[in-house]
Amino acid sequence: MAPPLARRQLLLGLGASLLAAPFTSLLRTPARADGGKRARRLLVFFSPNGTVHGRWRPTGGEKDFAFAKGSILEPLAARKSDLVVLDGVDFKGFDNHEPGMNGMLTGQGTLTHEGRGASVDQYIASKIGAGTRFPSLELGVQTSAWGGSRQTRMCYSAPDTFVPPEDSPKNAWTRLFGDLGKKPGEVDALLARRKSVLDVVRADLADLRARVGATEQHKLDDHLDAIRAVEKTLTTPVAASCAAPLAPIDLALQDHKNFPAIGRAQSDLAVLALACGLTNVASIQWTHTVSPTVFSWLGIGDGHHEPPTSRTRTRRGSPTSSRPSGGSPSSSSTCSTSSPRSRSPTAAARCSTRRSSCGPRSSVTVDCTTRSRCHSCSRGARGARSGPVAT
Amino acid sequence: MNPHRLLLAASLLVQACGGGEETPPIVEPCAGDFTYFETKVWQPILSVKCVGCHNEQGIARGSRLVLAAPSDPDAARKNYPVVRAIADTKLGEQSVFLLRPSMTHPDGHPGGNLLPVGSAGYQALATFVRHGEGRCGPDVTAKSCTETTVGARVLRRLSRSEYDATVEDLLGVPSAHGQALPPDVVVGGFDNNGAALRVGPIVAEKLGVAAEALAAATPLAKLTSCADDVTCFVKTFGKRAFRRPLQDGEIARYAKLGDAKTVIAAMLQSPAFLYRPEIGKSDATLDPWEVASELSYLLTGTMPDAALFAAAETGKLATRDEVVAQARRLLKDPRAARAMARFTGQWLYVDRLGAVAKDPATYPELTTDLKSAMVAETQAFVDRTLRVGNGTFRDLLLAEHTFASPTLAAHYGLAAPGDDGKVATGPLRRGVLGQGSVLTVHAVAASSSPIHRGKLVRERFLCQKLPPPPPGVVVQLPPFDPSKSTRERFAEHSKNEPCKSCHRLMDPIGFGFEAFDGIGRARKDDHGHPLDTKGEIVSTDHTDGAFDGLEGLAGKLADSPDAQRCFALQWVRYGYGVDDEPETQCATDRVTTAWAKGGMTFEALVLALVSDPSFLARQGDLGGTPVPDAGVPADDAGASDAAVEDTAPPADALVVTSKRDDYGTGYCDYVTVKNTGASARTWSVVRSPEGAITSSWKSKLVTTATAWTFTGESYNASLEPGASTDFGYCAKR
Repeated sequence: MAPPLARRQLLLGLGASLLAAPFTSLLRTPARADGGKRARRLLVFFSPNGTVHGRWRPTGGEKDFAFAKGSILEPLAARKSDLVVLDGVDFKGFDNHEPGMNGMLTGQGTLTHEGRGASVDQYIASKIGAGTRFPSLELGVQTSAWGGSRQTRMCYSAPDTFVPPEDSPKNAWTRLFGDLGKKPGEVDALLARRKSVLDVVRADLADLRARVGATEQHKLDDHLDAIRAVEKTLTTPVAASCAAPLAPIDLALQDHKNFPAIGRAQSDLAVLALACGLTNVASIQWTHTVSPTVFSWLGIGDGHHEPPTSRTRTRRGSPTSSRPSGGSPSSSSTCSTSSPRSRSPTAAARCSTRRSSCGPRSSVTVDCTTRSRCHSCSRGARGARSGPVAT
Repeated sequence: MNPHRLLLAASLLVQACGGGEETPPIVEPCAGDFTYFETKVWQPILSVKCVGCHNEQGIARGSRLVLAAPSDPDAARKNYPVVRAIADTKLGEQSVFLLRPSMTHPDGHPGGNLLPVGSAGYQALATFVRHGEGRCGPDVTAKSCTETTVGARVLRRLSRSEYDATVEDLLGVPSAHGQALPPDVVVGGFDNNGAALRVGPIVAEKLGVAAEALAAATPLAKLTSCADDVTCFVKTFGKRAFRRPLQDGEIARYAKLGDAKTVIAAMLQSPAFLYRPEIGKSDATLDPWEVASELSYLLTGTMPDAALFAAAETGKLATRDEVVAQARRLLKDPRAARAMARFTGQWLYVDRLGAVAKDPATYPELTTDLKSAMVAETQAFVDRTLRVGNGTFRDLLLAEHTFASPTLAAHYGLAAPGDDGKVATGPLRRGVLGQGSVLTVHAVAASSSPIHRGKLVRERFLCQKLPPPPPGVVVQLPPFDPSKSTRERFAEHSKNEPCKSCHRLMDPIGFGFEAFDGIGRARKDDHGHPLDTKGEIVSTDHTDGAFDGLEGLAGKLADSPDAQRCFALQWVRYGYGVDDEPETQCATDRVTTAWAKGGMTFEALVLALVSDPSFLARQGDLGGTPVPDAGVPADDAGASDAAVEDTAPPADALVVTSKRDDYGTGYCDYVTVKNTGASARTWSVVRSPEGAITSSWKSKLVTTATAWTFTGESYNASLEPGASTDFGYCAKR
């Protein structure tokens, strides 16, 4: 599944793609902060259930491509020359439904592979994340109603070891910026106390480790590794290059009406964390593979993944079928890709085209809260602040 | 390899088609190979778990494993040569017959992990593979159920809800910190799996933040009478926090922290608090403190109360009679309703109702309040039927009443509840399967769903796991045609062969629910079409047959040994935090038997659970290293560890002993330092680097290219005469 790209080239493309979002002023400073070297960052952006390939793919060739009017990537047109769009990255023969989530960013690597079973974001974080407060930052939008499982997790530090996303913008904000604003004296005392506490915890871990067999020892070794990672986070002062933004408002995290608002807040936090130098690697995961989300704020009644059902179809006067082409997750994340098994959405669908182009990429709430027609939301989405980060 | 190689008839050879796989010269299988195949491989495994997809019309018809159906009287004989050939096909050293269903094949298995490595089914297949290699003796690695097949010694991390409940009981302050942790990993539908719940960096970080916040919020005066005396505080508070008395080393370690609040913050991050150890003693039985925690988390979802602690302290909990007596007592505890709610919510997935997305235009009635009322109904119904009323599994399915709120009763079109909160449902909506929570979660956004409801019954009531749709299958249904009923539309599944092989397991059951719409209301017709609620169950051991409507389905399940055993299995999963064969299978067999002997009441089920060997004992290796405070290294005769000589010269009067646990690609050294001199000493130990250190503990480490130098932490750097400490590290090569 090697894309015909050098890793460096890919990263450059990704770093630049961030600039396409309307955060240019935020990013300018840290991007040049370390002696004029170009910042190396990764943002993985996942949306489930396939895409509408006719609206996703650029027209033209490898270098002279263009984003057609009304296509998903059109908002990035101004930054086209900085972009590399990947397509057709192979799922390597594994199921793109439930197991696809697990395989998507890991390539189903094992401990004997270069990445030791980690997902590509975690692998890259291990290379470029060490100098930041958070080696990586995983944010989610309604990813976890079904709990943690291979179906709901895309980031892995090792085979089957999830790096779970934070679904709450408020919790994410607290984690990122909660310590900012404390007085230096308070901070020093706090850090010293944390250090001594973690020393005791470490000793307890060692005591317990001596009482258990190999399997549970590995569990405690992981715990000890986690403590070491936390120690770095909790006992070193924050060196962020910006002040904390206002905390996000409380949102009912499971209410699907809040899907656009949560997504927008998480996108803003990811951009701020990157801009403030708190991390170099972030991901935003919109729900999970085989997601049942209903984009009701766009006037759509069916679940994103479900077969068409009765009256919603009739009501909108569109008798055609509704599925986006491809399975799930034929993701549009930066590191992955669309499904190789994609089917062109020919006859299947005006409606699916409309739906998906308004889908998780829309982050406008105002335009779409009424049951307006889908394409009008699409227009709204193009003007939104948190558009997709293109591949 | 066996030297007596004989080529079999060419008809038995099936060409390997996967890259890298090879068909080795075949030796004559062991005598009785066909009988073994028929009774141990075909009947219990292939004919149940595999043939649904692996048949001529099935999804997996393109694979090498294409089986004759069980309905064919000659199926076993026809399938034997096919399976024998696949069993003899190797990828590297291993048979693809083992690699595929256990998901250890590099190309995976679209049907999922049906036979996990080590499961009873896997062992049966492994034995069959061995037979093909001419290895005919008993497989010493095979396990089978015995009276004493129990789980491994385990550390069970508190789940998110257990964390919050425990903190509230321990500190007397409310906590939502557990809920702010990353959602727990769900295994077998439950979020308290002992193997899956771990502490990774994000959990550790959040636990640290939570510990500080909780310590700050705790009113010390209410906790103990001796918050000013830190040693006293450590002993008294620590005993409740760790759910056992502290050892001397622990008391000293925590006392050094200086003040009660810091002690609380540290203890809330300690593995002694975060994990429930079910390690047991060298004779495999759990110690009374461990049993006290087991009982209380199983039945109340939180830490032991004072009476349980007292029973542990006096050693009474070492007897099965006392365990049973305590279980009976806790079942009556009001907190038990919370544990029941956790089971119910996860068993039926009704705890997902809040997140279920529906089309608000189709179902404007489904408000947040109504959703809450639905969940509350099911929680109350299960709790009052089973725990309070000591009812049976039959009652759960057949009761013709529920405990709905007035609003919810009106939603159902039923009369308002009486003084006892009961709402009569009649037979058409009887039992838990007729409740709004279940019917709403297991449906789609704008309609009912025979698929989802059939899947619920198949997976949660019959305990048969269904594979996800395999890659490449066109799952797009034909365009919606308002002239067709739901059943007619879903009939596409039974016409379309690749779909049929799996959907025949779901849809015909789900049709039985068609009298209810997508939010649990009774309906008289299906969008203008007459209702047809006839359904059928196929491919079970004891439950096959036709039925009509929920009334008929509930009746079939209530009397089904498959469903009863499945309910016991769900409690085994939830209660023991396990989902691995053979333990679950063996324990479920025993628990089901004991439950039946007790008259199938809920109390009989709980008592069967808590008096089973799986609850009271653990097997497997104990740790091979000295426990703190023991002072001398312990020999572990059973382990393969070899003691290694220390490579660095010990300082005067410091005796350094070391023990290595080597696993090939890496190793861990456990080092003990003892001061045999006459005065206090500060120690350091130098090792020659071998590989790269991945972790170390109870020591500070300085590494250079030529030396790894370990020195003590603040609490163990200095050793009094005669004192010892231990530290360790792991490295990969």
